[in-house]
Amino acid sequence: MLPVLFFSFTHMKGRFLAALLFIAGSFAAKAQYADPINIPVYYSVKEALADKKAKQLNLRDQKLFYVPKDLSKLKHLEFLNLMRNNLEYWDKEIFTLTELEVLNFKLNGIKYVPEDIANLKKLIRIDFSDNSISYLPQEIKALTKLQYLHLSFNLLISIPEGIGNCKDLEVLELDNNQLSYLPQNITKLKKLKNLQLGFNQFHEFDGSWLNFPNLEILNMESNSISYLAQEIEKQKKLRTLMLANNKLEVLPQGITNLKELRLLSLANNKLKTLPEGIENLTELKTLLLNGNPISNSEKERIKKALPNCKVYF
Amino acid sequence: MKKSLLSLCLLFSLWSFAVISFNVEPISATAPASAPEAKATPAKKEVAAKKSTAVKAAAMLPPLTPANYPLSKDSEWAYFDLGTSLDATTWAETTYDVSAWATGQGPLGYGDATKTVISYGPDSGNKYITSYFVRDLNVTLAEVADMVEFGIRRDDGVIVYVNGVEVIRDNMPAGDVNYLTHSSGIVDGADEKRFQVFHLSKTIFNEGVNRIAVEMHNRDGQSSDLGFDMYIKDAPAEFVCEEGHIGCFTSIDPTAQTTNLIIPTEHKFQLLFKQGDAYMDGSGNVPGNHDFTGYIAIEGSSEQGYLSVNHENNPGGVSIVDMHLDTDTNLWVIDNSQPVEFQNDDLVTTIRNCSGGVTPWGTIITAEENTSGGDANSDGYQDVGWLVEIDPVTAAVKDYGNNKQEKLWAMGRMNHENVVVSADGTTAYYGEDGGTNCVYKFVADTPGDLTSGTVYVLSLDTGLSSNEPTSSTATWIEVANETAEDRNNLTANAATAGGTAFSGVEDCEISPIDGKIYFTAKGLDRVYRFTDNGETVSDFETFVGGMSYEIETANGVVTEQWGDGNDNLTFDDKGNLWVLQDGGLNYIWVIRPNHSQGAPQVLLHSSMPAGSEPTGLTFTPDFKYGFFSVQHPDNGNTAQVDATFGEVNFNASASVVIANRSQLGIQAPVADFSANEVTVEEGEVVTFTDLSTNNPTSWMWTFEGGEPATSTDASPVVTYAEAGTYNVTLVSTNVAGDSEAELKEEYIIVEEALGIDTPNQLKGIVSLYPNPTKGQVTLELNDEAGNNVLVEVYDMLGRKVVVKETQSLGGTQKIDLNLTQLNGEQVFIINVTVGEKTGTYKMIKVN
Repeated sequence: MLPVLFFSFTHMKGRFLAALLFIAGSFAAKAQYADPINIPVYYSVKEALADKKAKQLNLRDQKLFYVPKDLSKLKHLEFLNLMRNNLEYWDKEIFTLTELEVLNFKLNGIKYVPEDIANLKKLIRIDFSDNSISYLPQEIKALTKLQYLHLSFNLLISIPEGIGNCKDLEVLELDNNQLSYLPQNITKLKKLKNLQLGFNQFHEFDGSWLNFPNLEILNMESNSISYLAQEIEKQKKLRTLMLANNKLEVLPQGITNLKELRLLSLANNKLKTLPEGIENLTELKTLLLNGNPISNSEKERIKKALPNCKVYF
Repeated sequence: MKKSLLSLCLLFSLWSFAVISFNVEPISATAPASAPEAKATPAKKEVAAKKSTAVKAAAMLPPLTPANYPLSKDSEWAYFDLGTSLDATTWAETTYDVSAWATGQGPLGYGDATKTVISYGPDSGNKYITSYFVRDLNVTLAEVADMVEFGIRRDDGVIVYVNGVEVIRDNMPAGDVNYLTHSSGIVDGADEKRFQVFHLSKTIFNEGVNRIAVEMHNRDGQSSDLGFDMYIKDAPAEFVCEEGHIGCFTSIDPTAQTTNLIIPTEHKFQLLFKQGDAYMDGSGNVPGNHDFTGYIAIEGSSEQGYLSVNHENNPGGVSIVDMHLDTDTNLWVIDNSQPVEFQNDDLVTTIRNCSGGVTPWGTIITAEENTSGGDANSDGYQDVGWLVEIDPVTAAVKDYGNNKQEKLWAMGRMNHENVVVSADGTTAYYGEDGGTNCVYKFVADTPGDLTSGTVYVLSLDTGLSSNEPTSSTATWIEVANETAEDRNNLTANAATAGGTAFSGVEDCEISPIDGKIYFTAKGLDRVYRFTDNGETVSDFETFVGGMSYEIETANGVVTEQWGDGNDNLTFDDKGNLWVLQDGGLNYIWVIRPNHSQGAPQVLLHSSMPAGSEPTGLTFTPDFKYGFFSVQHPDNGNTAQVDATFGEVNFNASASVVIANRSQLGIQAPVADFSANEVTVEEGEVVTFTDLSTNNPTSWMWTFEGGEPATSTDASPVVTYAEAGTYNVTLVSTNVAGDSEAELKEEYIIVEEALGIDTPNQLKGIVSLYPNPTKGQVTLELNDEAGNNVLVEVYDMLGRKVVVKETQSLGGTQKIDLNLTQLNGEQVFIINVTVGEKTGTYKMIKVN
């Protein structure tokens, strides 16, 4: 029932109320998923055109090489799924859908994101994962309502500074790209809860990228990280820290200040010891240390320091 | 855990080496020997021994005791890798002493992953050609099947001896060979790891200890690798196809996709539930991308149940269809259909509901094949990427006592594809399609409860090579799943713990025949199987895939590539494995339980309509009906007739049921009929009644001697003009076709009427037979008791020749008339009077 109210309010009362609703947290967040039971989902443009207020269109698995020309007639479209087609180029029709809140382009063949993405200012969720995207434009800064940005499995080597303007972002998935650095503006994403950076080309993790007061999940597994900055401690709400398959020889002392940490994966690094003070990680329940040259005495120390934590050596 | 095990092994190796150092006995294992043509003399062995190294430490283990039949893969073998010829010895015979040979666990070889590395000599550019392997095998003949299966992994050529007698020669030239003979051909790629299968009579064995001796020949001295392993077991029993069973059919001809669903001629299908249909509970239209299609029996019924259909889409979903079998029409009838609701504060949503499973306790599990991040309700669990259990009765996601609906968090978040739960409810197997591509096991704390338990990931002991396992053993590694964080990140932790990536693990199933776990790896084009021993795994092997197969169709034997995309799996009760293919030519394949890669038994069941893949086959408990879906077919497909005899079109996703023709849809009639009278007199009429089954709508009667001679009426009335005995035939027809012709021979007897006493007053009371007679005539009387009976027989001259008087006794009464003393062939007139009624009959006497 809630999503129905949400959709109707956004239409009736306009942008201001919609913004309020987003601030209302989980209530608004559910709008990011289509609601097939309460609002019709159409499976072709032709079908959708019969409904003057068609909001949800699902064109998954339709072997499309381009989007249907009439797509732009669906002025009220809020949810568009184009997953697993053969789309390699951007058709301008997509950028006329200014009411769009969810755009799913997963598993296509697009190579870049055009500047026109700025037209879709109401986007809340974008899924561009599993494409061949090597370029994101600065214009992404126009997407100030964006909460979820999925860019996993692409070819990105950089993220534009404009990302810092997407201040509502909660989930940023950039794993399985070719990133070796982040823009300085990344720390403007104060609402960010989940940052996925695994399987990239990071060699270090700079302190200037680490200032996310609401971050709960940070995944940097399978990079080549040999340095993690002391500023990791600023992520006060961090519950999950995934650092497996890197080249860490030491951890910053700051890691022991992550009082909320539940899961810490350090498997397959070069750690011989953990910092003093790990006993401060009182909430830590799971610690993965397999694949590290840790001495037996250090193992004993770690186990004693973390009596409530299951440690895997 | 694995690491510590490894350390232990290392320690053991060092200890063994220490022992070796003090061992004064020569050892055979090791490194470079001298000239390849050199004979294996004791002196040479000692020379070799002096060069021994720690690498061959395992060789110092005591000589092998005989193994007991059957011999499994990965067994231990004595081997001789010194580069010397044994041609002049009796090395293959039981009397030959191999106690000084090195020993090691199979697979043995070099250049590829093996459990025991053997030597190729000092020169990698001129490797030893022949290596020797021996194992003694204790056989109790009474316990061995008549035919024995030898499976040999040979890279490259092999000759096998049992008690010194050659029994197998493969990839080796015919005739005399020696130590320097190269293999006939080059074995490479996946073939290096495949087991070639040979079936031999058990008479090759003696009672007691037998010597299995193997010489392996390399392709040449520059070959990069050599590999050997062997198993010996009873040959599988021949699969006997039971007429009418769903697994009993003739393969279709291989085909590219057409605009129709093609199934075997022995089968029929009925389209049940299609995208765009209105849900019967009024909640809109059925979405597309039908995936897992699970039949859940109501109280074990094969005629009433629920069909659960996943919608692999975004938005995703699950439909629950209530249905029953109409036993009159043999058609399934849908009584209700509704979507399961996932859009609420507890569950948030569901997307990409791919495959799933039916639990032994009658719930459905739908698998979310998507791990996009997000925790919209801030419950600590990411919103999607879970298995979700649904009660089909309420069509609602389960509530496990926490006053809210929940997903199966403890099983972990991943790109779920499918799950199978063991019949005792203790263990679930599942895999990740994408992400880690690992195989997982969940052991429930309480059988039947999937909300808490321990998760393990499968780790092959020696990995894959060319997509083939390099040995048959594996280990389960525990993966943390205590907290929400553990569960959200379960796969990442499984991968770092050493889980083996298989590429696209799509489905896990448990065989009802051998209890082994079978799973598909779509990206590797194979179905693997293994025996789960708890903490470890044995018998890991490729069951099917990765090659081409000979298919026996109605038009002969053809060869068809397995292709890519093996996806959903299902077993029937006979152990046939049904493999649904998303890729290749999108077939459904059926693999017989006696199949092996070396002796294939593969059938081609069906071809999906253009643009589609088959998904989610399940069966009714009696295995008469199979339900699957046709996912995302092209909208240009054309109409075809299903079991309803109506036209259906696979132009959108749809669920169907298949069955043997005799079990599904209206059947052609089985003709039968009766007549109101079967004995009449000339000129009388007979009314026929149709007794055909399956509601015929038209009839074709043939009346020999009748008028009309044919009829298409349901109840024809026929006049018989002349005396005689006549056949009647009926072919009845309905929408399903014609019946077999029902012929009743000599069904209607028409007796000659004399014109006197017409109608015969004794009709139905008196009959006389046989007629013609040789003299003994029986008069059969059916009358009430107490009437006077007078029988008078006249010859053609009017002389009364026989008279009999008696009383009727009631019921059937036989009166004998003896005409034998009356000479010659002639006609008699017999007058019969019973009480007040009379009848006259003509009787012919013949010699």
